Amino acid sequence: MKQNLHQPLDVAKGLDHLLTDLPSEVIVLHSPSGIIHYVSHLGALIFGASSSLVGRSLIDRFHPDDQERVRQTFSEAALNATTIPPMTVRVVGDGGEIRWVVLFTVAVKDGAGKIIELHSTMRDVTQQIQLRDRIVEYDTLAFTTNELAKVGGWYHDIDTGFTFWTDELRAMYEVDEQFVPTGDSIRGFFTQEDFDRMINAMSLASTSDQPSVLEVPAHLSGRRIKWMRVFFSVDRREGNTSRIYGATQDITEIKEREQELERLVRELTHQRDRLEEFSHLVSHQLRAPLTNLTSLVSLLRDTSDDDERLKLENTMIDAVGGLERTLEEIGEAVRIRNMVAPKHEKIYVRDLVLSVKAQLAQSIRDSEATIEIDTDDVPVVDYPAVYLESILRHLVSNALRFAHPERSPVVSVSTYLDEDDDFVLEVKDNGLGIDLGRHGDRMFRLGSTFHRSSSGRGVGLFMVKTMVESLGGEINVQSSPSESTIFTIALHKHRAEEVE
Amino acid sequence: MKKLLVALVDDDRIYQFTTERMLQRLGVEIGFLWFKDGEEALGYIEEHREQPDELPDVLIVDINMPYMDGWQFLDAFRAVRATLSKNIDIYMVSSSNDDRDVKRALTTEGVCDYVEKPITREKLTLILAHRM
Repeated sequence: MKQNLHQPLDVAKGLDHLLTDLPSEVIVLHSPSGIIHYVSHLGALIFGASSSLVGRSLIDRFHPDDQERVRQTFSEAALNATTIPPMTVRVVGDGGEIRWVVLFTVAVKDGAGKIIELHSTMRDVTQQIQLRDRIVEYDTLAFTTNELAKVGGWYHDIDTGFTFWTDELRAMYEVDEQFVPTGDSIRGFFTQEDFDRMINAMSLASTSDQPSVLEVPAHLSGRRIKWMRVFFSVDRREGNTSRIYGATQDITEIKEREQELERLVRELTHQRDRLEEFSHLVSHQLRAPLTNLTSLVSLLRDTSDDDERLKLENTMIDAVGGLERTLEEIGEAVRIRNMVAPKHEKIYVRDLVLSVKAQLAQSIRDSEATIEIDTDDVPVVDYPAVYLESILRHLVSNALRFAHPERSPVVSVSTYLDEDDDFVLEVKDNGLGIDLGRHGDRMFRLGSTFHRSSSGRGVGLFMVKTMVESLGGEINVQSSPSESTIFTIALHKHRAEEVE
Repeated sequence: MKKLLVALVDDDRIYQFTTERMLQRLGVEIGFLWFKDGEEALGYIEEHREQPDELPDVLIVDINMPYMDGWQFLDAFRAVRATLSKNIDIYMVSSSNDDRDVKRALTTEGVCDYVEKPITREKLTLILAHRM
């Protein structure tokens, strides 16, 4: 029974009509085999019959699929003289039209108690059935669309304070029918700030006639978060706000995609900035020795003095050497940046520190340095060993080079997990420290040094940062001049537990 | 006429060498000072603040220096400039062709001009012409 779902359905009006109108009933007296003896005046209408029904078969008037049930009912009524529970069946009119009736059959007995015929009452319930079907269809459609769109409904009655949640909404908040939605119980899903925002949105809807909408994170059990888009609309009766209606949509997937997109944009912007900075640095690093060579060539052309020529030529050799070193460094940086998926392996951090310690043994002895190792929190990790070792060697080597002149260097290498559960490698020293106020923004740039006595070319920290970033991590520095410097390298995931 | 004194603040030893040579070949007697970083230059200037003959007439400052860059030097120099017994012309130089540096140099108070490396005899002549 197809209904046009685009037709407005006024359920309340339909019910009123059905309850107040007189029932359309027809009475039929017939034999147990269904031969009609008498039919009341509405019979022609209900059966859709164009001629008299007396003497014809009542059973034939029913829908072929229902005839067997009707036949059984009649014979049961005739045999047992019992009251048969009413049944809903279809009758088919002469024109093929179908009507639904509730059939109720009782046996009629004579004075001796013998069954002489059957008395069937049929009530036309076509409208009710159609209405029921439409309600079921609407309900199914609403359920399906709600499920597809992840929407649940609710209302809050301002006069009584009662709040109603649909089953879909309960499912979204993962609560059962025992849950009573009240201000206090709903507050439990939100931070105070978000809850206040919802109250404000509700007030706005109730005062402005404008539906309002809000996106809030709901906190569910197990520290899980579901993002909800809540729509508020108001129902005014006689000018007064009496009910706030709402729809709540689970937009967690959309939100997660949005957040992922934002993360990607941030990452791409960061990469673009890094690339820009890198190309700028490369340009400068290459231009500096080239401009020197240009000047030297120009001077060489203008001189005829042999001694001066020799000096200029030697200086040119130095300049070319500098250019070669710069090219090597840039090449190394490019190689690290472009390296795709460097091989990860299981690394015992303590062993790695001991290996670096062995490589720097001479410097450690010369400076009477102490290397402390504490890798108890995260003893084993899974990263490219060659990177991690290089990073560690650069940092420990720097700590030794920039030791405080008045004390022996103490370099502490430790591992731990930060609040985001990321692996942190920390290298702390008691050396000269770095004036971050002055050098902070140039800290990891190519060609930056932070100590006047430095013999370095400002390559180490740039390479360290390049390696850390190629591993998807971050490097940070804290320092107090003349006291200490702490480098922290935070790397995402890939702890050893995940590979074992 | 007193001879002009030119000071170069640049960590690049080769650049120092070529600049000094070019000054020598200008055909006028010019004194030359070289500071490998800003702190060294500031130390000298503060030490000679009341001796105008010892202070440079022209200061050529490289922007990209590893320990203290040209802008950081300029910030520190500004604090002592008013106490000096001589007005010093400042030129910012760099091998970078970064527009940001050029713009900053041209809009920073106390900076005469931005000069792109390599420095040439012609550029040096123009710089010195202001003080000759």
